[in-house]
Amino acid sequence: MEMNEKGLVERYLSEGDTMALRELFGRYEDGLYRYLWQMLRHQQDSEDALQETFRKALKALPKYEDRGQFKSWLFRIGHNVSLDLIRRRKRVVGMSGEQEEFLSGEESGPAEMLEAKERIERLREAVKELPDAEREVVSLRLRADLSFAEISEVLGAPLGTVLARMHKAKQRLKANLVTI
Amino acid sequence: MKSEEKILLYWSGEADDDLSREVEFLLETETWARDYLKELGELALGLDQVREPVRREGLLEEVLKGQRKEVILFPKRLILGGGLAAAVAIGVGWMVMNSENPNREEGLAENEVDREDVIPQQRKVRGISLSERILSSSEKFGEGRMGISQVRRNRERWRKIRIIENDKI
Repeated sequence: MEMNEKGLVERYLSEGDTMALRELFGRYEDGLYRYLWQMLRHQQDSEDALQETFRKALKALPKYEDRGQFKSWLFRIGHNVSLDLIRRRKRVVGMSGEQEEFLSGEESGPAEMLEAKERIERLREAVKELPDAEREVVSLRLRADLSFAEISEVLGAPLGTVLARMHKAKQRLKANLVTI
Repeated sequence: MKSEEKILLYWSGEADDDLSREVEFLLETETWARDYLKELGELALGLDQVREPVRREGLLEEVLKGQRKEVILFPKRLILGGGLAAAVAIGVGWMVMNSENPNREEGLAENEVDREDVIPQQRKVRGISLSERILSSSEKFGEGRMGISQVRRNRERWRKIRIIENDKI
């Protein structure tokens, strides 16, 4: 049976059990990395940001107050780390095409593959062109699989604002995909 | 809340029963609502196919190892600090013990004389260490009163050593 997050936090804090930490962070490692990559668009930066997020979370763990929102708490740290990194390195979101070519390996014919690849490439470009605030919401919802309520906590924005950003992002993506 | 936002919550699985019923009615009656929901599904599916680069293995493990090092380093620092403090304390203690205080030296000599009758049984090991010190050529006697008290003290020690040696025989 899966141990709850409060139990894992307590086990680490009282016994120094790093297995509890592995379990705790391991649950969100994939989602967090996907979100960070969507924000930073750079593999090394995303890896650095992921580690920095874990370090900061470890440091802040004794002060963590369990309200059943560990995921939002962790993603909030990740969100702040990614913003710091963007500010510090002055790196414009975007990078060489080489690193951005990551399509799913579906089994299909060459023509279908090409079409799918073009469609995904257009979508990827359209997401990249979104304003930061909208891209954050899209990435957290569709790449990191957070609920809108969790996104509201991560960004410290009212639920209505988050939903409005998602709606605008969707409309913008639709318009861009039609015109491309 | 706008209808689009209600559909977003419904699509996300975050709508309560009342909101779900409301959205489902909207979906039955409004074409734009059905299109909106369909587009959300397509967007999710499309983004799901964009893959991020495979990250390096063991990122979390590296952080945890770093954490373990810090945990180990902390007591080490304490041990080093404690060791240093102990060394300083021993050093200060040694200096105090070896400071040339005539009263203290006399007091020691008197105590040793007082305990003379128990020396052979209880202080054999100490007796041997004392003999080495007395026989050492580096032993220096002070001047004046201090010198006299040390001669007296050493004479006493010689006597004790003899007692110890006799006891061994």
